[in-house]
Amino acid sequence: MKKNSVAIAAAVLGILIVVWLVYPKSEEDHIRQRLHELAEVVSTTQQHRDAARLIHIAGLQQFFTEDVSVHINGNIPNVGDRKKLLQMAHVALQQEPNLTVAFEDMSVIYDNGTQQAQVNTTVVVTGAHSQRAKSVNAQEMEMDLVKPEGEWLIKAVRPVEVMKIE
Amino acid sequence: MKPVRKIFIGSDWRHTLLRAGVLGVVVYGMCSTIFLPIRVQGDSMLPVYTTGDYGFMNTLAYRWASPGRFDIVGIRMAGKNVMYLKRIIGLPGESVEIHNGLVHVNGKVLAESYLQLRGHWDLKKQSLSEDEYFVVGDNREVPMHHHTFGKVKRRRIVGRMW
Repeated sequence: MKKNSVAIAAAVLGILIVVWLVYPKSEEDHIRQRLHELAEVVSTTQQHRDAARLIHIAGLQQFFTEDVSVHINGNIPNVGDRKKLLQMAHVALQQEPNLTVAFEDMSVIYDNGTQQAQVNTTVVVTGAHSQRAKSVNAQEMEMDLVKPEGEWLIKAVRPVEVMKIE
Repeated sequence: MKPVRKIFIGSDWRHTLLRAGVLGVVVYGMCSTIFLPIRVQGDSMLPVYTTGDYGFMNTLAYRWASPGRFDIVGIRMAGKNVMYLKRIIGLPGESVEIHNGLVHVNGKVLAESYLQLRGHWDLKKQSLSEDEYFVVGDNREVPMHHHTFGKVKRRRIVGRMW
């Protein structure tokens, strides 16, 4: 009897895991996954050198619309198109050979009618100049995403002010 | 060996497993809602906290009380996984300004005994509304423009370091 109970419990657990794995993902899940992929592409290591780095940066364009508008903060100039964004990424990634980017606390609002979404997240950028010297920067961001042809693309990025100085 | 087994596993392993499970759920529940475990990254709060330090944040601290001056608090961004750790130096309705590293609140110099690192910061008068606090890190040796600080809304304050 006890063996039967254990077998039934294991079977139920197995079914739940299978259902969870094959259950169709929502658009919100797709967006989260897409942004995690972007974080992986932006993150670089010492191995990404020269040609490999260029290919790596070129991979970024699949995540943005051509007219993407990016506002990061007061010190960094605004960007109004994808080409310029990639150029800036190239320069930034050359300066920071070991860069890890992560999107934390992501919340997604999806509008089924317009196929648009808005994401609120904390972007955490960790740069490692050496094994000991690490710099960590975090910034709350809002992003607008659109889905013109099957894939979610970032159309706008803007910072959210957490602390304010007049 | 037998007594050791009794102490750690108990006479009935099912009860022990159940107790361990309940304990795990309670600890997990408390650590994800009331006492948030914190791992510090960055040197903004030197000398009190530095990279690699651990602590807990009491999210109930301000449930029945208002945040107080000198409290070290967590400031949420998009959520609670990544927060700023800062010290409150200005309360709602007050004005805060900094002259040559000295903080003035409502025109009077604020005694900050916890400070070991003070730079030559200058900040013009900042007036706080009824739901705003002024927060800043303890490491004032960092150039002012490299330091994240300023007025923050009450709703962003998650809790107090414990």
